[in-house]
Amino acid sequence: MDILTLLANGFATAFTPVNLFYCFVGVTVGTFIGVLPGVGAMLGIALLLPVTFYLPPETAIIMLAGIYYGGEYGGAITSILVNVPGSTSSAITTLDGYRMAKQGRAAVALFASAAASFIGGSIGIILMTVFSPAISRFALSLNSADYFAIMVLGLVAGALVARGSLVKGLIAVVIGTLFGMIGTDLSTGVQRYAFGVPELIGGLSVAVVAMALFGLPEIITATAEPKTDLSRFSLRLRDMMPTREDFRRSIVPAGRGSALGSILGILPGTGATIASFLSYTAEKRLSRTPERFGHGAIEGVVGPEAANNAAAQTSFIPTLAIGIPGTPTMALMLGALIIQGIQPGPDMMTLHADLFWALIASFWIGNVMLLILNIPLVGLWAKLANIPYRFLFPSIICLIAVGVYSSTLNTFDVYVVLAIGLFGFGMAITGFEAAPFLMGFILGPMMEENLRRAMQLGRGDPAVFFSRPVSLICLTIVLTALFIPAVRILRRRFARLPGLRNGRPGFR
Amino acid sequence: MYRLLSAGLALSLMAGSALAQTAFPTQPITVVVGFAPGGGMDTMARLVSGEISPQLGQPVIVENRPGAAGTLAPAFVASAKPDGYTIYAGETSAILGPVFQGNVGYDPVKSFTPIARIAVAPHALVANPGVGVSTVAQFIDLVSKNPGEYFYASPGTATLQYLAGEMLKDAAGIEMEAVHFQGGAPSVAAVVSGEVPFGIVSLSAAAAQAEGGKLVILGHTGPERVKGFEKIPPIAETIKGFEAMPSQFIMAPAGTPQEIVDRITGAIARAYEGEKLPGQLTRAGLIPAFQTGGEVSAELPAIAKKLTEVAISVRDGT
Repeated sequence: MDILTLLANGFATAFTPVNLFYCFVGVTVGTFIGVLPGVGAMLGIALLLPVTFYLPPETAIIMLAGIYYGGEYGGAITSILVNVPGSTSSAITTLDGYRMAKQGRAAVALFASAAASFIGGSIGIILMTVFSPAISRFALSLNSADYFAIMVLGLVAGALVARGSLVKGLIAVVIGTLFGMIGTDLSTGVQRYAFGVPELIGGLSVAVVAMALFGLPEIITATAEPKTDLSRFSLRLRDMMPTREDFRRSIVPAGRGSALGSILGILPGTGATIASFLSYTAEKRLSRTPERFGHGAIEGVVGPEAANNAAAQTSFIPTLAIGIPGTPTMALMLGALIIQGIQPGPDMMTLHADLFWALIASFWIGNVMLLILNIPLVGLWAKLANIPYRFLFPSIICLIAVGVYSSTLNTFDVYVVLAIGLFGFGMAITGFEAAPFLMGFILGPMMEENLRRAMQLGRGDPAVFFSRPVSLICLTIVLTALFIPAVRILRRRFARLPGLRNGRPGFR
Repeated sequence: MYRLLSAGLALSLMAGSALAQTAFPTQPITVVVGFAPGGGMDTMARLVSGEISPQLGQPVIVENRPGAAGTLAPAFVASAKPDGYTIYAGETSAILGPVFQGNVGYDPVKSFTPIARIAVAPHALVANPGVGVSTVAQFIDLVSKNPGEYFYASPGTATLQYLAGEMLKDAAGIEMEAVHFQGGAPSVAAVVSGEVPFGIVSLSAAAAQAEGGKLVILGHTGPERVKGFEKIPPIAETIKGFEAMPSQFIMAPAGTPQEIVDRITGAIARAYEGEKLPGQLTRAGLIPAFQTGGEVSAELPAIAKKLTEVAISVRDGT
């Protein structure tokens, strides 16, 4: 059977009233869970898991998957409105999305984010429909050396995200990496920076750090300048629509973001987050007006949001095509299938072709539902930005605390939010940015793990990093990216050389 | 007035506890799991609580308290009131916490009164098909001819899989090096892709990959052939006496009254009489293996002692 027949059969299954209903339930729950800071798709799926025991397998997975990708739509909403990322992969959206909201363009940002999410999601699904077997083979061919190189690329991109100096960006990446090292070292079992605190043995949670780092400092800063209030901005339908200029700026970034996201989505664990950061960096570097980034550039919302949604779709590929879950959340979804008696393995696409294609078809339906669901909600969400800060901020802090507590039932994480929030405020007033810190926090430990494993498997020979195409390409991009600014700086220094004759070199 | 009030309060509390002893349970029971939702432990707890809840006539709620490599949950239950309303769903791996983390706030044997053993979950010794071995004997032959040349994938240092691997090396007298991955799924992927030739992974995950021809299962770590996986020989058929099999338990805090423990044990035993719970556990990749709390109490100290010794020797690199 060719793909079109299979897909048609999939649509036939996905369009049954029961499946449509549970798809709608999934994406709606996903959106709201994405909106709530600190509550991830994982918790939503866990909550609805018992329901799936009573559903047919395809209905169960359609609903749970809906929660997963629906969360990517919702995650951007709080990023834009209150600078608190609803999900880690939307952290970068705060940079320009929140600035747009501050300029009274919250509705435009939300609209752009929903549209970009739809574009990214659709492109991800198309790739999934056509190339799943090839993509999963490629994903499986990546080894520790490749992952190391990809992580280095991500870290450098993280440093380049910074609005200010590259050096400060790199320092923030390094500090983030050190925070990421907290916990038990994978290859030796040694505890690092845990100070005998049991809760630190497993390390800090990414979601907790992301929220604390982006959300709290902004709130602390805003309380110091009480005059800002968004209520003076009108909320007519006309203001929600992006201008022709916005459209023109958005199309190419959305395409690029989708492409990046689709490729990086296959990385286990953090594909969506890396994709959103890389997309932001790429847009900023390629833009003719990079100075607009960080001050409400719509490209900085559209690119990353297209990227993380594309990644959310393609991240299903290795999970479904090889039967090896890429993230704990994916493992949970596969768990739902296992309880139904379907053991996901490499034959999933052939043995359970009906289920696989019904799921793909439901992705199309779910994304359309999300678009329809999100556009009218834009007005409602944007009204939230009108709530006076004296009501809004305590509510956000309360939501963060409850969200964090509910996922681990441990008050320790609430204290972590407070500590990291204060630390983030300190960083903000000294000119270090949260985005590169978060990249270091997420990718640094993964880089270390893969570096050490690649060296162990290669018996200490660094040639392993240069003998494989993916690794070689990534490392070449990294060296070029770091080399060009270095050359520029050196050139400037040399241009000033005549000044040396007047004595006192260096001090300026 | 206050004294009167507090005396009244104390009286009513006493009355409450007296009632509880005669008619347990009178309120919802919480089953604490040390890991995030999903995965074997959580699935087991959810299936069991779903079955015993109607029998006990009270909701049985699964509560996930992840963190500190799964040791926060047993520590929480160990210090909970021993009234049967807070119980622990745990695995043999809880024995490793005190060895690898030091003071974890519980003793894997002394802090708990076992209620029942629910299931066992042997590990599988797997090879990439490209290596060209299909039995434990061939594996031992190949590795012993090339001492230290081969790697095997493990899901981390403080795991039963890693201990099983080191025990296997000892028992077979072979030299190979562990490569650690962040959990089970990445280590399966590493053997499937051929980055690492061998691995010790969960039997159910391995079976699915083996069916698709992506992995070869050489043997499993249970003492004998297990139901549902009859074709797979235990490693013990080649290396006599080799066993490293995790079990999953339901436990109450130490000091819980015996009649309360028996009440829950009885509910679980009845759930086992039907086909439903064993069937659900099997489908979830677990091997149902019911034992009463008494039977567990008889075996657990010896198992814990042996595992602790192996864990200490692995930790100290001897």
